[in-house]
Amino acid sequence: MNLPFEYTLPHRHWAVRYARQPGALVGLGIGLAILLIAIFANVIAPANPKVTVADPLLPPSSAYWFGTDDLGRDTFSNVTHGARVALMVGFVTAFTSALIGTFVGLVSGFLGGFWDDALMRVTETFQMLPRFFLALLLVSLFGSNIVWVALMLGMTFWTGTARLLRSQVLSLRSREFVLAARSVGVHEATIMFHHVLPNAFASVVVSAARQIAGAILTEAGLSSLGLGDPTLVSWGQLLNNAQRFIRTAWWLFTFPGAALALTVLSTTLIADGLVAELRPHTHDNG
Amino acid sequence: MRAYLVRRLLQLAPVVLLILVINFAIINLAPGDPVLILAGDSGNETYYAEMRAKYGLDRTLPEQFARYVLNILRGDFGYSYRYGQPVLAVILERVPATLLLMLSAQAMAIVAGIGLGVIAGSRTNGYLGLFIRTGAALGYALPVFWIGQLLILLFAYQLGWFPVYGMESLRGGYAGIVRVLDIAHHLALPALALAIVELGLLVRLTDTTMRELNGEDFARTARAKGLRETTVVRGHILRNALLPVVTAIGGQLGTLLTGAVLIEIVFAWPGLGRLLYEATLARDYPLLMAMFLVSAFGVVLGNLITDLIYTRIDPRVRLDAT
Repeated sequence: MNLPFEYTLPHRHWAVRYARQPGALVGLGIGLAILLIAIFANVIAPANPKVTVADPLLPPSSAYWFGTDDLGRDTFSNVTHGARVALMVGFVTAFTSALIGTFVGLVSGFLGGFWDDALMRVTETFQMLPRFFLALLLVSLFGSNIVWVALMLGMTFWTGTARLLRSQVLSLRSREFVLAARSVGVHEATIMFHHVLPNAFASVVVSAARQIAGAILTEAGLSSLGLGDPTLVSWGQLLNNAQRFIRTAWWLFTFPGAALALTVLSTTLIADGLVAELRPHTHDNG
Repeated sequence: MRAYLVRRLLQLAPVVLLILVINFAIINLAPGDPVLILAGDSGNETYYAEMRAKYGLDRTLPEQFARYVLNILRGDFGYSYRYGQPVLAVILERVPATLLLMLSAQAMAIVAGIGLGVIAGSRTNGYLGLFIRTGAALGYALPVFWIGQLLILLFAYQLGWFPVYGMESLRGGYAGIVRVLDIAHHLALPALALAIVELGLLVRLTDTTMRELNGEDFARTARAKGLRETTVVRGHILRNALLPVVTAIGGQLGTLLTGAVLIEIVFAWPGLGRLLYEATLARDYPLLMAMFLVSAFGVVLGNLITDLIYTRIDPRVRLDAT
């Protein structure tokens, strides 16, 4: 595959330069707000999201900001609690995927030969599995516990990270600093994890940041088909429930959908900012 | 060319075998006994045994797997529990609706996506570029299920311009050109919803790649030798920028058959996506296994086509090079 660029970590002030990008800053702002909402959902939500508090299908008002659903539950409380599921799925999936992707990419690129061939065949196969289909299949066959869903998504998302890291490791493994380390007798595993990996780690971070968005959208997709974790409130489930009331209760799908869009947008902007920061030559022609 | 194709297909053999194994493993690891779904939980053991024998569920796993692979090689994908028909027939019946939906959406997304991406990518600092870029980031972030719901509320219920559900008016009994128009009328909203998401991706990709290439030596050389800006952008930068875009589109090709599950459900579109959903709920294992294979082969085929297109737009990629 052709890689248009190489990720490298600049030496200083990357946080300062990151903060100078308006898009990235907006993304970070929205992201932090959503994170706070998720953490303090109990405090922010005026009602228990699972309890009937008013008449069914009330439109938004000063008492119920986002209206109420068909069972008289407060939609605003539901939306704030949904942030927890979205962020949890996003982070767990990205972390799992980064872990597997890092291991496969590093071993494959560093060892080369048989291991490279074998691992790349496995990676290609995983890439060819239809992702949403697989998720749908696994959730419906094995249940939809939220942690399991996130881990399972992570197990299908890692291929991109692995390939990106592998190509970087390939170019790093024959550099002078690796030869130097080897010539003074550093153990191969130490070279792999302490010398090569840190130099390529930026690409793992960028991949992981990108995958948060994909994971949140995939989980939302599963839940909007009614295949989400039934014990938790998620934005996808709210969309699923709203499907019967599109005509009569616009607020039921508008707010959860907007929350999803904002969350995904913020992670995308954050990732875009990281990419621009970690890839110095775009500054030349910015 | 032929030698290349043969070699590529041979390379795919282990991948296909691995997909078959994964597919078989998933279904067999799943909890729940398909016989109970087929025969109900009457507790009648002789009936269960009969059903097991009928569907080959009483054999050992390696035997079942060998039989499964042999049958597929013979073009026999099994018998759907739920629809009581050969799986292949059930699937083929749904293919046209999904292809129609996905291809229309792709066509819209490709034309508009590359077009807008080029505009944004060649105007790095203008407001128009910023506007397109923001719109694309937003479009990319919208959950597809939600876009569907918004479009239904706005264009079907509020404005009444388009029908809400289905692929054609069942009571219309239209034929000929009127029927075609009726289907197009039903097609517009779901295709638009799918195109919006895809559009965001393509605009972003075209835009970033073009901006990256803008500072490359070949672009500078082209400008230095006095070529007009439009020639530089279209003939030099865009042509190179199309490579990752083609890869992305090729990736989408593979999902053509099942990528539309969510949209097909929001709009009650009678395609493969809905079939997949129904098969999942009904635990129709033969149907699920076949659909999984079909979509995996779709991805394989999509990759192959992408590679072939590559050789057309990038002379550096030669078929005989490994």
